[in-house]
Amino acid sequence: MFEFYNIRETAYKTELERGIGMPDSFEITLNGRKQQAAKDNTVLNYLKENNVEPPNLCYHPSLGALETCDTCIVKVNGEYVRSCSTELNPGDVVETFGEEVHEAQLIAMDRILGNHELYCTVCDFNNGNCEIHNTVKEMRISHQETPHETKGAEVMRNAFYRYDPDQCILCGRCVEACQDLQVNETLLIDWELEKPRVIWDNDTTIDESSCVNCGHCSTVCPCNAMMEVGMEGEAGFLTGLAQESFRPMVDITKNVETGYESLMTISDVEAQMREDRIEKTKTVCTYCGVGCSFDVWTKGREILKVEPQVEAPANGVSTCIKGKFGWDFVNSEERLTKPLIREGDAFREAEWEEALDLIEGKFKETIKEKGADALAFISSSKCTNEESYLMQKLGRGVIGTNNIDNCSRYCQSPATMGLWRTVGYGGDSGSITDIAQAELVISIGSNTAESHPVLATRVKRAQKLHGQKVIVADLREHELANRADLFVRPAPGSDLIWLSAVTKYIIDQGWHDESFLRDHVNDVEEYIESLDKYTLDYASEVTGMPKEQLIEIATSIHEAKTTSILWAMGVTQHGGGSDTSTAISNLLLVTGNYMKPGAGAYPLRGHNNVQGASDFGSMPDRFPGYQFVSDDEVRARFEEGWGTKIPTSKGLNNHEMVEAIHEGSLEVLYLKGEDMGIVDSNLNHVHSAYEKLKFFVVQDIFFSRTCEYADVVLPASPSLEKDGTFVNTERRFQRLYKVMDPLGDSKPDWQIITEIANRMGAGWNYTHPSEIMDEAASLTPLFAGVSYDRLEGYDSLQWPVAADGTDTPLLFEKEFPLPEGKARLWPVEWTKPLEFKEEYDLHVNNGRLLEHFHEGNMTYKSEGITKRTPEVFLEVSPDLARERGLEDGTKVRLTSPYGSVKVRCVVTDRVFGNQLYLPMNSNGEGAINYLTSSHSDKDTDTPAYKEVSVKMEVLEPKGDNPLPRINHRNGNPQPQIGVRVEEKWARDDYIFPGDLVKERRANK
Amino acid sequence: MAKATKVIHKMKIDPEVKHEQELRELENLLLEHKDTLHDMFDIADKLKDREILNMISSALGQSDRVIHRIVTAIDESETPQSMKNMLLLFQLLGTIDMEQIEPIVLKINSGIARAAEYEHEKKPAGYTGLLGALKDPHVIEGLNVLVKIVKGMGEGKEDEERVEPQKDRLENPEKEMNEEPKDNQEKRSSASRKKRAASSSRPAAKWYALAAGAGALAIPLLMKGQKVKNNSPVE
Repeated sequence: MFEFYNIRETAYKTELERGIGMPDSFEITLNGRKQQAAKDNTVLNYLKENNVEPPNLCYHPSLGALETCDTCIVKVNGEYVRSCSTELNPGDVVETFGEEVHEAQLIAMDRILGNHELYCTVCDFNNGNCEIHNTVKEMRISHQETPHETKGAEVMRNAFYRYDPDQCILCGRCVEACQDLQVNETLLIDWELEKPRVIWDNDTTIDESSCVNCGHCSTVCPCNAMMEVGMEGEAGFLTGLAQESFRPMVDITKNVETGYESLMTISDVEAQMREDRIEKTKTVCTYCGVGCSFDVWTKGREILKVEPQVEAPANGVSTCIKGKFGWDFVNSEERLTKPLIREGDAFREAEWEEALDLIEGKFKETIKEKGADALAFISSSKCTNEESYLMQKLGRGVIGTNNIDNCSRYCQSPATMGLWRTVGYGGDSGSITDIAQAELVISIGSNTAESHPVLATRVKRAQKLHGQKVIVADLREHELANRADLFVRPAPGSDLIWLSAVTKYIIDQGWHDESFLRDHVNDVEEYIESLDKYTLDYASEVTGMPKEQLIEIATSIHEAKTTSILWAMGVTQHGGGSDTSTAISNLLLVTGNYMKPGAGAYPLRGHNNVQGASDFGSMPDRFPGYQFVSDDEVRARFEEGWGTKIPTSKGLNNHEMVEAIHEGSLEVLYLKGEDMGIVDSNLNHVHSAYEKLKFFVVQDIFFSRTCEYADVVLPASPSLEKDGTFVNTERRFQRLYKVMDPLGDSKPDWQIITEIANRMGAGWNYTHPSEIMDEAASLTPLFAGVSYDRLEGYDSLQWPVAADGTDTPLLFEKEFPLPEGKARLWPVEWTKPLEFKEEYDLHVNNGRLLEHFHEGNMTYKSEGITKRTPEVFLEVSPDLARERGLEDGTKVRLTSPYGSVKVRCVVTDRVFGNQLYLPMNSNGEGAINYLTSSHSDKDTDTPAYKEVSVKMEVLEPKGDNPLPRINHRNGNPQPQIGVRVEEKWARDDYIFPGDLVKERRANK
Repeated sequence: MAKATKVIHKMKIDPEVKHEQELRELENLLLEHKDTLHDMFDIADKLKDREILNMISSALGQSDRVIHRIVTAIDESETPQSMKNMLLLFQLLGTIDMEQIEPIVLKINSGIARAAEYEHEKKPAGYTGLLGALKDPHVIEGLNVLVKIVKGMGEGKEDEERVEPQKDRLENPEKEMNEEPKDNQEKRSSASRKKRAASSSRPAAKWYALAAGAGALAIPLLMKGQKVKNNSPVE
């Protein structure tokens, strides 16, 4: 049993986790020849490296060995073994040739063909990458012994993917991906069935199961069994056949074929023809800061599928529902395709020339009458680095104002501030792989599984398979909290207290890392003194956490060799968000959890380019690379580079801009790619500011809530329609390539900004974003070595990037970018959360949903997503439901001192007591920001979105549940490790091919 | 003071201006591809004359039904078998070496010519006459050719067959298992393959050649015997 456990441990390690390439080596014999092999390697990987790769179908580099297909059988020391799961040992004699080995492989392959019908030419998966097709070719199989048989079950399908059991070879890749990579634990193979097949939960439909439609299963499927519905009838020239003609056509083909060679040849020719019309273009996802990259398959403007690649640096083969299936918005009829110009209380479509004339006139007029600081610019964290760079260059270098900011002001600025104070760089300490390899992960105020789904999979996998310990501190029992080894629920806004108390307890116990503090950290004594008040008693009283929990957290950190702390909006969107972020970094410094793989600070960036928007200077006080505008030397460099004068004083941030509009000092606002009119806090206040603007230009892909207040609306192009780069949460630069042309008269933002700048006399002549990157890199030491050539395809660079192209996956290796090369401990004080009158007796937590991106401007355009999650809903606890007479579907009005919303309830134990959860997927009467205030983080002005209390009023006691039955939250997951191949092996009808060959040989 | 509004008036496009613009685009396109279009129209005229364009148009208009009707008919008829046979014949043709077959074809032609010239004599042919014919060098040469053909027919070629029924494969799985990449064929030849190969190895072939040759020589004798037997009054 112990031995078996070891085999499984080996099997579930991917190439990355296995650590291929370790220097220690030993001698083995391969096909009669002695040669060297590195340790910690499987036979299959070794054979691949030595170009004698045996057939293999269930093995996938991102999943490890599954041992279901048996095609990779070879002989090791005279015994038949599956090479995928067999560790190579010193002195091993490996045989990959020979009639017996080949016979065993053929037996395995023949069984596979009994499960999969070869109708390649009329198969949508016949695109050169069908692994069954390719294996049949490589093995030169011309006929099969086992006839193909139906499994007697219906095709399963939903709006996103389908499962054809009669094409399924039961390799279990989909199950492994679902169980142990995505860790959603929906799919399994029922080996008890007479004809085993993949099932969802307890053998229900896809839609009624716990499936989150992440697409892992269809991505890793080696054939057309689990396939994206976008491909069906679209990929091939002959696959659009009417359903009733399909079967006779397949039968004819099978009757006519004289061996699989001719079938393979014809289908290969057809596959080659497909290359001419199907484009496969690499892009980077825009739905969160993880930075998933993948190929988009298109036929004209039609998106057939999203195909992640193993080499994608942040995500590998992983995606979430939005990245895999949420691109319908690109072709939405609601896209803006012409500039709009306001006339009274309505807009009219106009040509670009007229819109630009108007903008030029108003900008020049305002500068002349009120000065450049009467204008302000808001960049987007959804747009590219190059566009962020141009927006700040337009503001600073052309208009002459530093009034430039981006929407990281709404989320991440406090995290960046906390890191600037303590470690000098405002970025993640390492990569997502560091999070995966940490012994202990602490997640604070982060709904990771919904907000950063792919990153969460790495934590879930590490915890499930490799014993990573996970501690979650949150108000709500979201998925990661539910899975955590320890889930704690501090009182809202009290994280700084328990973090500081845990830090103090660690120091009091002598568990702090003295040598690290001595060698790498300044201001230690002063900081330790500042902790005096954070006793366990005090922390327990304020946070409501038992002292035992605090001690357990401290002990866990002490016992773990590496601790990574992840945090997000639950920390930052408070009055003391920067201080709490600082407290996190302090704790990591005290325990020596910087400067080593698997450890560090990980503020999880929310938008795809929230990191890059600030990296490229869309900030009121900093140029690209966080260089201060007040620094004369830096400013002189930019002035020389741009050939213009740049103002010296700090400009306004987003929050200050709203106030300046109200005060009358700011008259013109140019905002791109941000629905500030729905995502900023205290919306009524923001909207009334918009109404006071003299001239308002909004640039977006849809007519957003913000557009409603504009004077000119400019139609922009989304990421799929342009080239550029993003920086993800790991500080990783990645290129996106233009997948299709801009729709209608819409244009990429960099082109629009260039045209406006040139109207203002800039004389820019950029013809491609790569030229903008070259210019930015030449002025910015932080990413001096970044260029499009170095980011070709799936290549990426993590800043800082030296001029020679050397990047920095581990942010701090030898020193910190602060005086003396040392980090500094920064004493912090707790800022009490906003207090409300007694009548506002319910606390409203708020945040993202897995399936919708923010207000849903893009994701509601997907019919499949909208069908599952058609509207916003309010999570209420069972206790509160009992107390107030609420049930699923009850419509309530929530009222805060700043506004009110109407929304229907869902009763769930994800929330507790008088705490509510209102997701942000609404731009209508349920929009959270009608409730939030203008109260903000004292250091960065980030709105304190999480400090909201309301009173509740029941409007309709009964109503339809806002979460349909087909929402995954109603599913019933079935956790297990892997595909449970042992159950297959235990079946009466299973004989290991190697044993069969031995038996045949013995009988001859 | 811009109040929020969702009202958007779409741009009214003057149909005449749009028409004019599209015409201009078309005109440019036509001029750009003038020569190609000239050739295409020429072909199209001919297709039109022969009703082919109309046929294609109607077939495309009813494509789903037409395809369904065709594939159903094909599937239910012997057409797949014909197609398969045709493909097999093509493959067989590929195995023929015309250089080798040419002299044989010439010899067969010569034989057919002789046969055409031959007229039955009224008197029955005696075996002495046949034995006499064996002295004829042309007859000896002809028999030698026949012996070689018979010898070749005795060689095992099962592994090259393509018209093998699935049932046979099911009953004799080891045959399928013995197929393998050509580059490894020598190394990996299976036991059963060896068995078959053995049947075509040199000593065995000699034995078959001798037997075939003897058999060929015995043909006239047997024919004679048969005839005698058939003519026996006892029977």
